[in-house]
Amino acid sequence: MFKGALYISLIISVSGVIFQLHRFRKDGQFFNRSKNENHIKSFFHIREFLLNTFLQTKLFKAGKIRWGFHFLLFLSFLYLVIVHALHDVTSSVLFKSYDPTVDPYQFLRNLTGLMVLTGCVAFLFRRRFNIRSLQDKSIKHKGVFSIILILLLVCSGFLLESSKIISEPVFMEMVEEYSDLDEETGLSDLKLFWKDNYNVVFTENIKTTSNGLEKGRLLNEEYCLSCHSNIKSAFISNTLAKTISNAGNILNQYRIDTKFYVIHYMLCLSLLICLPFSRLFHVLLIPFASSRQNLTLDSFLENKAFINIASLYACTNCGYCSRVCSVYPNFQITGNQDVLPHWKIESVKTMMQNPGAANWWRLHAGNDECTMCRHCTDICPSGIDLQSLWSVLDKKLVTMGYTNNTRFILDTSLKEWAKKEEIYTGLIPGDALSSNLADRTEAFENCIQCSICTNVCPIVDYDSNQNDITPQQVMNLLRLGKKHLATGTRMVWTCLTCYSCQEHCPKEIRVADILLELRNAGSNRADMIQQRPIGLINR
Amino acid sequence: MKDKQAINCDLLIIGAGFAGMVAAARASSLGLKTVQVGNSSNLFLVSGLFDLLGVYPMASGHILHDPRTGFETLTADCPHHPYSKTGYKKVLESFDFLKNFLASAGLDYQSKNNENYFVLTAAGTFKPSFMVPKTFLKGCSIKQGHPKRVLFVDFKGLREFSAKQIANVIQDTCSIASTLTIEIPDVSSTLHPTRLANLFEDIQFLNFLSKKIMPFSKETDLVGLPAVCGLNKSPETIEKLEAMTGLDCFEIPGIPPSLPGLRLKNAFEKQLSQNNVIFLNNSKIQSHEFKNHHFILTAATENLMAEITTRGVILASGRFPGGGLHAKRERITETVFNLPVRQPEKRNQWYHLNFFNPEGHAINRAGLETDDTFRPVNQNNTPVFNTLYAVGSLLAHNDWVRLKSGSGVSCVTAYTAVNDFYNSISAGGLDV
Repeated sequence: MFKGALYISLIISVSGVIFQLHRFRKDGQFFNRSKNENHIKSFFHIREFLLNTFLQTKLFKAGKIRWGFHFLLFLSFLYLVIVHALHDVTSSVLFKSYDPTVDPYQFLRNLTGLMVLTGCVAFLFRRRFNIRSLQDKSIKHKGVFSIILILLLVCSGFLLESSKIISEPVFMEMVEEYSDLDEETGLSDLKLFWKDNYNVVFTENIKTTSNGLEKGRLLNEEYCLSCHSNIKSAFISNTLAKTISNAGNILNQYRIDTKFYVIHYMLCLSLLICLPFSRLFHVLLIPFASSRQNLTLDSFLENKAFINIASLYACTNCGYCSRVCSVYPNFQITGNQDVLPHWKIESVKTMMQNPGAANWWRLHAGNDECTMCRHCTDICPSGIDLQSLWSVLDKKLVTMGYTNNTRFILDTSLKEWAKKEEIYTGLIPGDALSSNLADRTEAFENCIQCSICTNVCPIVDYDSNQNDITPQQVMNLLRLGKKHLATGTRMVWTCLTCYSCQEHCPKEIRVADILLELRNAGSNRADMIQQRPIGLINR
Repeated sequence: MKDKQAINCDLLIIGAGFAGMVAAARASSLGLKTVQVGNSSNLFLVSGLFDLLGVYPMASGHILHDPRTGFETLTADCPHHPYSKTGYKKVLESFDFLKNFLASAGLDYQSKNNENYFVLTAAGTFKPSFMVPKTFLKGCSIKQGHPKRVLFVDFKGLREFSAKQIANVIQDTCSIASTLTIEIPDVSSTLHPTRLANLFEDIQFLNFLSKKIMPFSKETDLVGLPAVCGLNKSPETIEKLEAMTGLDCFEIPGIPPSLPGLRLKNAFEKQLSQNNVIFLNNSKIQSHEFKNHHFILTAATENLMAEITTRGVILASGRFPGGGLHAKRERITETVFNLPVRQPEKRNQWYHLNFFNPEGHAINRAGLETDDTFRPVNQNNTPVFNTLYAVGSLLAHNDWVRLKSGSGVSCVTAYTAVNDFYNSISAGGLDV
């Protein structure tokens, strides 16, 4: 029966993986505009792949404590899967001395089980109490299912072990199989020894005599010791066994150990079945996603249409990206969650699977506010190349008629823009995104026009011919009271928010902050001018 | 929300200008655990030349070939001048230290022991300076030796540098001064110095440049370029260009933002971080107290707060532009510790009526009064704190702009102060 169930779940699991991959492929077609652009440029970074798969280096960079727990869970679970679950094909073959009840395997099984438990509890604890500001109900419970499944699996494992420890029937089976002892040849002595040292619960009352104990010890050495280490090394199950030993006779009577065995086995199979359909799938997808790293400028330019959809599903909604997001303040003001990377990626998935359900305007507004600073890509513990995704998404949105404001501004001459902009000045009550730095003279009046900001700006360096106005000139426009002009300058819209200018400014002016704010104000105006519904929905 | 962190160190340096950098360099090479706060971007604005003393006496504007002669009269005339507290030898020693420190960061500076160089500037004038980058050296020979044939090169779009202007001003000094303006394809309007410096590190650009220069090779000995030849590898870049053209090339320092200043900033930052100096960029000292022979200061930026516990403090916060001094309506104040500032009694004495007064203005000599080891003193002439030092342009009696002595004063005061601090703690005088 067990074998049959195993094969069935294996088949389900494998076909699930195939089904998912097929779905990714289908979703991928959503982005491809024409067949010509459907060239798959595959690049495989073996180093990133190995480091991030087996050491989770990216998670280490993002958060040390979280990495600690995750790595414990990962290592322990890996150990349990390979050495314990698959012992028929792995450890029994590889290690001659292997037996589940022999040290160090007995001890290690308990230790790794405990570590997995700790990891799971830490996960649930963090989900409950941490990063609440970034979490939304619909993604808050993602991943909880798989973690609870693992939790139950480990718990049932411990229960199984402890119920076996106290079980008299199991003891008798073993005696029959591995020895020729009976009541006359000292079985009761062995029972006595096992009752004392291995916590087995017997129905009959065995009298404790030092003579009997000594005999039992010798018998134990002869028949059992080669396969049974000191039970104390199974420190969790042993403690558990002691606590349930009072009810031991009843439990033994119902053969509770076999029940736990079924539960443990079935949970294991359900984990296998759930693998392709739950968060667990990330163990397969993250290695894949992290091998696609370090896009150069060239590959970025060449590789426009294709993104690997599978890597999107490597996202675990951990929220690190949103914590470092340059435009996180935009979310705080507008409440548009599609600004935040870990949320936006969910919207992209929705968009691909069910275009009708997506809030296109909101997604468009969120993606339009992204400054391509690359912080999310750099920190992503799953190694997803988020930045390429955003630019691909941008192109997709444009082809669907949601032209971005950046394009609108660049197509409008500065003169035209200033004229259009002025019509709307003062019309918008509570312009929350723009009534801060750029309207406060003390924020920019200290500018001495030393042009350091211009000299350190990577955008100015990259296309100095295209850029009409440099950062220091934007500051000057503000000093001249021409904020409505400043919002339409190319500089404001191509700023990457790398903050070089702000870090280098000798007068400590918040140049990058001002540029970002101007961009938001301009975006607001552009929506107004084009009479788009975004302004009314979000701001 | 601000992240808080606590830092323990031997010496805190407030300020990341030239004096602060020298202090950090000295402290870290003595093995002191050093923390530095400030904004190093001001170094982007300095010329990259190190002056010791270029003019003395101030009133006559006498330009010094040999800084030592001026130095001796200065110390005799003005016993409170920072130089009077160190002596000439110490100045040379500190410059030597600086030269070696920068050399280990890959920046090549040259000096002659008792002589100033005369560096050709973008205005066509010659500036007396004591220690100069190697790439400037060949320009210094124009003033001294036989008249030379010089080609001045400028770039279309690079503002504030005109070959024609230089040629016009110095035509008497050279036998032939010709000019060449280079137009870089694909650059239409403004050319920014850092972008040009990046181009210089590209061998194809050097090829292009040498092709433009080659037609002049027969009537030229020397080629003068604006100081934009490479970002960090300027000597190598110049050498490559010399090999391509067969002519001697040199750089001409101009107005800010200056690449030699940026090279200096990069060299300091690179070497200091290698020496494990903790640099808290852009943070400001918000509060300070002194307890149990230790200073406890809070340094803060927009999103970070650090509590620094230190045995000594070097104040190198600069003057008005750097924010070390602040001019209120009636008084000048010191901004970090609110130390007493030596200054004219009334505001109307700050400036002389004649703006171009050869004696300078009283406000330029305002600053902190210190003892012989550069510890700021109070009205009774005793140090305010035993381990608080003030160095650099913050010091009184020091009109460095007119005397062309800015780098020298900053360098020697920072060097002396750190040495004194080091001696006092290694003597164990503080822990008692």
